[in-house]
Amino acid sequence: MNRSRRLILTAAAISVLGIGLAFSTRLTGTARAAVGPIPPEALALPADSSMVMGFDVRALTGSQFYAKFGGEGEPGRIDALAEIERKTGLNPARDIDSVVVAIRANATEPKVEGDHKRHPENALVFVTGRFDAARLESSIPEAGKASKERREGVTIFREATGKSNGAVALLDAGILVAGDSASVETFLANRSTGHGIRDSQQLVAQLQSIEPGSTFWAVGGPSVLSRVASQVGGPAANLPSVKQVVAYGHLDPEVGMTAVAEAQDEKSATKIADVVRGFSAMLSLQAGQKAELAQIADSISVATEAEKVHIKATITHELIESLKKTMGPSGRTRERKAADEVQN
Amino acid sequence: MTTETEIRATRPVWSAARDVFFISIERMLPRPRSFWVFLLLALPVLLGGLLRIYPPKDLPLTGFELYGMVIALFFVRNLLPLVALLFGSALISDGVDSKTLTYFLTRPISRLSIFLGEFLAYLVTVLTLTVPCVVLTYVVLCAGTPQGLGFGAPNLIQDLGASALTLFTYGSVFALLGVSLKRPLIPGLLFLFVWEGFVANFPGDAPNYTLTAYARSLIRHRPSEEGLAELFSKFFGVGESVLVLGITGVVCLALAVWIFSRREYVISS
Repeated sequence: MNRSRRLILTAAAISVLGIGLAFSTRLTGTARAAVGPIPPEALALPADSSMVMGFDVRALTGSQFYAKFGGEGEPGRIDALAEIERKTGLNPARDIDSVVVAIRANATEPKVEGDHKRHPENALVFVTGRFDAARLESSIPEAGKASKERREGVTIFREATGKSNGAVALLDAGILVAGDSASVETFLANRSTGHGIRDSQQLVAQLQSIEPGSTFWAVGGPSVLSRVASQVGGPAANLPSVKQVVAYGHLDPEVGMTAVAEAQDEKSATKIADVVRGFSAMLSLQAGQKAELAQIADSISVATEAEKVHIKATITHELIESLKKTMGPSGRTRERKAADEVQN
Repeated sequence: MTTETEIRATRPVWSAARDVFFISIERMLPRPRSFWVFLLLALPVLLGGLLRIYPPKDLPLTGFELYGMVIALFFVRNLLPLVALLFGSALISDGVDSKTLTYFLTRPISRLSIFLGEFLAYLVTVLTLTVPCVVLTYVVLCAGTPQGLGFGAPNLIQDLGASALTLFTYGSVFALLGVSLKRPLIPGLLFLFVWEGFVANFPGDAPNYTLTAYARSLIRHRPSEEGLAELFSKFFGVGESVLVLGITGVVCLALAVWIFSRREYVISS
């Protein structure tokens, strides 16, 4: 089989060379392109994002935490997920790898004075996973509610009823970008011109300071944080302004979160640390009613380093379980009954 | 008597199938038919090369999307079933024409070994012709694009698996047709272009009874279809598709072996 053997070996050599080239390019390319936890394809997210946060959905769904607490939730949640899977072929727990959300600075500013409503449609959501693109696409335009446009290999769906200016862009090989139309257009423009997150040195530095392997993370600048603080109200409203915050955490073997906030000066940093310590002390004082709160208070550690405030918290799964029992369905029912009595 | 029994004792199945494979591959691979099929399979590589050298203005597809279209529509939907028909239906009849079947039938080897050896030779032949063409199409269409060559590398591996499964299943179906009918080419073409070509795009449950609906469901990164195909095309989960194609292939192969082992062949001198 000399002739056959030669042909088979030639075919095998061509195939192995092509596949090897593709995978080596993938490995080296990704290593160069990634910034912190941001996947290379998401680097086209806008550089003027005030806040960027993300979840490693694969790590989340594969965690012991998810196994213990993931199945619980509002009634009908499982049915809703099954319905999504039936219509789109998408099982979020199985098919989504990661989610990155970028909120733009100008988008979060109040549109007119006194307008303090949130504008959730201004967030740009980037999702990677294994989508059945054709099935997903066929499920979106339902009864003329969305208009479809194909441009440069990307399918863009726009809300057609005029109620909002939302858009969803389906990029090939399992990438989905959703947000308001202008933000999605910015993302697509950045993608073709090579602009994006890398244009902001501050954002790149913040992202690179996130611990590798974090399940969830967030970085933010001053505009979003001051807005969040004012919306939370209470002691948080009186917090000194913060220049930036980097937060990240994991879920196994216990839930751990680290946050580093950078204040304007050392004095402000001390004030922020004092507010967090005060909050921790309040939790300890309530230990008589719920013993778990004292454990949570103990798990929070606060330290200052020049104008930076380091906050760490570690909560075991057992503690969460114990909290859930005291705040569980029966607890919630009691609270609801009490609220009804007050209303009557 | 003892000597005659020893000579006529049937050889073990796999050892005999291996020998049949080595002889059959030499009959199948370095043949003009393989050369023309290879040229047909290499058409997307040539067209892709032209497209990269003379890129049309405002092309609404990326290189990877073009590759997705080629693998889903050109390879899996049309060409691979046709290649399977050309090689699979002629599996035994070619052996009759070239007298290799005469040689095998007069040796102490079971008909199961003959069929398995022939089918393995078919698989190796069609994979030798197909795999480099799919890989080269990917390289030509994706190298040097903004997304890069590495972007769809995992999809390339999945596509090669989908191609192999398509060739196996259709090969089994046409091998069954080849051992059952005297002239399997026309019924095979009718099956491919009437049943598989139209019924797969019918509304309702009709696509459930076609192989192409399961084969195309294996290409997860295919571009969306437009027009009627977009409205009616039915897609299945990967696990379900692999299971249906695999079971169909194995069942057809078993039936083909069963018919082949009972059929009488008139061997001309």
